[in-house]
Amino acid sequence: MTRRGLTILETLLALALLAGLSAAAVSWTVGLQRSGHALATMTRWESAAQAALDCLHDDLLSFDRIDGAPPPLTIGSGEVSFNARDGGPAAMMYRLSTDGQLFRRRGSDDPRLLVADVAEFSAKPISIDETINAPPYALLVTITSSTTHRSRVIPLDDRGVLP
Amino acid sequence: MRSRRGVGLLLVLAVLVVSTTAALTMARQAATWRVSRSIDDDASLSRELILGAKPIILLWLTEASSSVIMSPEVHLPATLVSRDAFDTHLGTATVEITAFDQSAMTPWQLAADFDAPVTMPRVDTDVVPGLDLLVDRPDSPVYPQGNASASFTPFGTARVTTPPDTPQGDGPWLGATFATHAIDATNRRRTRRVSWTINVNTAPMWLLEQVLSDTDTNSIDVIRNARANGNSATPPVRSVDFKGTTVSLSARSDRWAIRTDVKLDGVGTSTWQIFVRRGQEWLQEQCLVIAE
Repeated sequence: MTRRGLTILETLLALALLAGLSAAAVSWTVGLQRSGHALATMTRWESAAQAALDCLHDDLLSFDRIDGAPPPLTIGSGEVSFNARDGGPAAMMYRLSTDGQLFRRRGSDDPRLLVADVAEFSAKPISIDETINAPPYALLVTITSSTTHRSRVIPLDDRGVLP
Repeated sequence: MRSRRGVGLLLVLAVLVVSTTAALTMARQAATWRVSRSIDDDASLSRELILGAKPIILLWLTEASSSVIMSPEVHLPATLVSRDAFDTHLGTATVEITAFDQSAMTPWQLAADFDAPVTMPRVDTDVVPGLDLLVDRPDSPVYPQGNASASFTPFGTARVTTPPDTPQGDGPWLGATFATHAIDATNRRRTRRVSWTINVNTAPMWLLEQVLSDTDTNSIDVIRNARANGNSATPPVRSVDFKGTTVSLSARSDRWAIRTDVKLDGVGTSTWQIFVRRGQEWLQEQCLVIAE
């Protein structure tokens, strides 16, 4: 029953164990912070991409029927343009710049940045049967970053697509 | 023995603190991501539901719009087309469709000729009229609210729309007073004599009284009584001349503005669509997304 303290060996072992645990904890926390930051960045990017798709959806939804049909849209490489309504009739353009920024331009207004860090912006018309040259009924729009992407099928509602 | 137990307890405590903090951080990040995704998904689905409402609108226009009769007391030429609530994988969605008769309003281009309850702001006359031209003006509310308390006009049956029990919002709204598409776009600049049609079964009495001011005073009472009894009023004359404009009188309307409101889990999307009958077909002449 004699009371005895820790031996040097035990103390050193406890300290080594504590140091190991602390190092693991710090490494884990740093890793967690990094992944948290990456997740937050991705969430922000996805929200911005989603808002851009909503904006494009709303612009495509807004139109005046002219000469019996809603105005058609033109699709280029990294670019979609069409006539819409936004505070009056306006020519809209969604364009991906060479430095990876997706802009929306209304008429002759200054372009508004929608999403940064965009690797690709594509719009693909979808037809029920492409073999019979059926007119597209929707647009598959995809915004891609280096790590993720957001897509939306936007109904064209009688808007044609110019070749 | 006690001190060794103390060291062990300290180690356990340290591990507990670190792991709890990490778990909380991860949970917060996951929750943020999930909420963000959820709001995005709600916004996407509400837009899809807006588009899904179009067949209902076209059916109502084809089957029921010509039989709408509004009480002579109505201030808004509005009737509820459809109100639905259903469950989706993101929660309960409500879709409300309200129709506003363009033939029961003052034509946008002729606003100066009428003594209306609200003054029409000056706008660019070179472009196709639309309520989106007025949204930046703070003077009067623009888009009329979906008339939540208006009586439902079921397809092909009951036809009378009674006045709302309680006024909705801050009217009178510009969009329920001035019709953007009462006159065809080709005549929008009023560079030549224009004509338009007024629906005697839906127009507010103040508008009918002004248009029919030169006709037999009894004709207004006949229209009022017929509408009050839920009967279709017969136009007393085919057309009248009003300040240089030919106004045709009709018992039905070929031009409706449709407001569609979708709400899903607190996220809302609304549109204002103009439908015009061309022959047997109803065509969507204009669609605006309501940003309020």
